[in-house]
Amino acid sequence: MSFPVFASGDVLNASDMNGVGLWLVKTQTIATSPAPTSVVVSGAFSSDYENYLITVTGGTMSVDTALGIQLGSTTTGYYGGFIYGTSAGVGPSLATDNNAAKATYVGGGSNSTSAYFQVLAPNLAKYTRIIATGINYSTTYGSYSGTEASATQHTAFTLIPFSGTITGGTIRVYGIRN
Amino acid sequence: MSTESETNRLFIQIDDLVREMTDEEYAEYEARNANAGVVAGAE
Repeated sequence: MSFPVFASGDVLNASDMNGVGLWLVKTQTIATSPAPTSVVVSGAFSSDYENYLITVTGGTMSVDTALGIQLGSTTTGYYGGFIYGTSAGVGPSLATDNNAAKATYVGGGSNSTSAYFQVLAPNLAKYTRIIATGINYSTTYGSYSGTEASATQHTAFTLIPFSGTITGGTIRVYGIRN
Repeated sequence: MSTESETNRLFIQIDDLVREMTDEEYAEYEARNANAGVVAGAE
């Protein structure tokens, strides 16, 4: 077998399967009605994986703004920096989370709401890091690095628009093999 | 699309269930918005 290209009928050898990097942990569809102001995804993090990739695709936010994340029930102690510019040529600029109630910038956009970010060590009794790229809402484009500064071991997260609601779209959680 | 119920309470989705926020969730939502300031790029 020429890993990682598999042919029909190939035996799935442990050595090959143990080399698979991403495993789909959970898929969740965001409701369309009634429109939620936040979406909780439970059972996302566990001791199976230290690090995760989370994507949000195809949703609609009622306001063309940022999409944030809260880990578990932790509503304080988020720190981070969002470096951004606008398509009109303004920037680069910096916005920060300084002991905020959530990581404010992991995605966004009213038209085809999207997010693509990594969460590092959410289920370990250590700080959790959040890395988000390709953030776009309105004319704002940027990247975010953040920390949830507690030793809380999280199993869930909540997606929270900066304002308004989010409807439709799909959340996917992938575990990155240790 | 309506975002509020007859009691003007907002909705939260937990996994596949969408329901009205509890008093505690609504208070958290209000507190979070009160402390949110202005989003980057919108000022």
